[in-house]
Amino acid sequence: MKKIYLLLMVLTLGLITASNAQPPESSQYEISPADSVNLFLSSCSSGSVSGAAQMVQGADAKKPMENFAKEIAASFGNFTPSALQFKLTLDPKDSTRVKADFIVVLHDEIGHSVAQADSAVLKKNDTQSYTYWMIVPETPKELNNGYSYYGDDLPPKKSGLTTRLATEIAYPEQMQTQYHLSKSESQLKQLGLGLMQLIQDYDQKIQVDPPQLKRDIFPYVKSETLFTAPGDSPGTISYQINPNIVGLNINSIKEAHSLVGLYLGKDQKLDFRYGGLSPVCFMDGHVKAISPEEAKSLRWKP
Amino acid sequence: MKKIYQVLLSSSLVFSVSTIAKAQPPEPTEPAIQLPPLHYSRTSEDTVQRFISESAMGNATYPNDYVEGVDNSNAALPQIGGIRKLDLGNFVLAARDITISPNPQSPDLVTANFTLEFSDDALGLKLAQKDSVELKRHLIPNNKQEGKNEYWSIVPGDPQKYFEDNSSPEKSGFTERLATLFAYSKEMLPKIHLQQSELQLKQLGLALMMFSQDYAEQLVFTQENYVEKLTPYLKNKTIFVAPGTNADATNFTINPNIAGLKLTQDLDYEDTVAFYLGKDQKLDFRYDGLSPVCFLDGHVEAISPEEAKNLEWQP
Repeated sequence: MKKIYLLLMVLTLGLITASNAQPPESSQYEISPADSVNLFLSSCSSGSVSGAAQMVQGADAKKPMENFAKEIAASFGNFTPSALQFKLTLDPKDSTRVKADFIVVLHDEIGHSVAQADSAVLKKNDTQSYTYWMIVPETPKELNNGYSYYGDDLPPKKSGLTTRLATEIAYPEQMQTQYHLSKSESQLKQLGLGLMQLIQDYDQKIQVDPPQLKRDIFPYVKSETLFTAPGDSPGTISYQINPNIVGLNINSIKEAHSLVGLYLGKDQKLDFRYGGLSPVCFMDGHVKAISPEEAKSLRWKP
Repeated sequence: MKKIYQVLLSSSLVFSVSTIAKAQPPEPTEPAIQLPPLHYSRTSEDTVQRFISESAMGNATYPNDYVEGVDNSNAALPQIGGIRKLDLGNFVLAARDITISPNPQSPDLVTANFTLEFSDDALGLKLAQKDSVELKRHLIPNNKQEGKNEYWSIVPGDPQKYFEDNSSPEKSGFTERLATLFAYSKEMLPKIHLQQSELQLKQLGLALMMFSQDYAEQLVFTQENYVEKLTPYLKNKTIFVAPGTNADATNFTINPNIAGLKLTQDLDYEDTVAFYLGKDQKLDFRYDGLSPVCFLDGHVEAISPEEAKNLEWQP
């Protein structure tokens, strides 16, 4: 563990010195593919935008992605990703491209770690002063296909974490919207679960005061942040309960799967802030992202 | 979702059945066994699955049911639970693909092999590794029906070997380490806190170097404003707070003698104190009689009261 930190420190300092130093005339300073991947991973978990963007092909460090970089860093908690045991295969057709197979390790400061095989394609990049390797991202579309593959199936042989992160950095706008939508969906799912527990406690009656949604559900979810949708300032209560269901017995509700329970917005109007979609939690507990077209046929009355 | 409800429903059913069972007087033929906190059957698969998911949520009330030899009344236990939750960020843990192999030597021991999965669904990140853990069976007399209820608990590892690297591609060791934290929470807490504070001090040392580079190799701050001046170089202000203390406190203090120092001078960087845990140049030996110190060259050491006498405070 200590070795990794030392290595990273030396690397970072080396990079700074290299970028400040005048380029030597004959031999260039080169950062190996392995060091490039490690610099990229540590930049991601520390929220360094420029460091992460520098190591990804097509990424633009100037794009306003500080917020997203911070969100990515926060999602790692105290865990830090790093990569080791590199095996490099040069592309026979293109000597500036290399396929790297390695082990990606997620470790925290108190000795816990989990590791899995991973791979990435890297492209050589020469600047005036030094040479380094950039991770080639996938397009967001390709990734979505790959992601659905996970589902509830067994974990795949390769983690895909490195390329996925590179894609987040290369396409921050699309990926952040998607990240916010998934996060918001997961918040609604948990709030829905809390609501169901509340209903059980009140003899199947939906005993909620709509303006006091947070006060009523909080004891069941025990998390303040669940009530604030991604993109809203902390403390905002972004979700509302469908007022038409308040006071009803849940057993009297027919076709609960199509009746709106909790939604993002106000006064029964959805907020389509995530790429034109808005997450809705239905009364059977399932959550779906709804388009404005689909919203017209939503059922609000029990 | 439905499955969760089913599980909840069935477990609460079993629980109510077992509560009735508990109310019956024990049969005189049964040997006196002290009842563990759980009174219903639980398979070894279930034990692994629920231990991993519940402890990842920072729930310290439940993991103690899943690990061998946990002292429920131990005050360090909730703190260990809190540490776990903070560590994980948005990651959720799950055990998949669990297979149980019996131990030929003892019917009361089994090994569970499974895939440990870290996933952050919103960001689409997933990491999975094989892991294994040993479980021990407990038989509880079942007074209502014939036979006995059985439940399994995870056997923790050796706390002395906690920080030794035992990982391999076949075994993450994560689950056993987690169980060790719960089983030996009292011994482990100061060790964990020391480890955490050493890493925090390392980050402070790095921030100090970055700061000096930006200000022409000079530490242009005073004893009063160093927290403000260094914060832009840190992930957050909580780095100044030692683990296990109130979030508003500043426990990592700067050696006042280095404020304003020019780092190009020929100094004894290796031996001069930069940051320490304590106040007024007196170390706080709160972690099992040790106190972490960050020196001017950025390295961090855990210092005993004896070693503290020889610390260099003047650069």
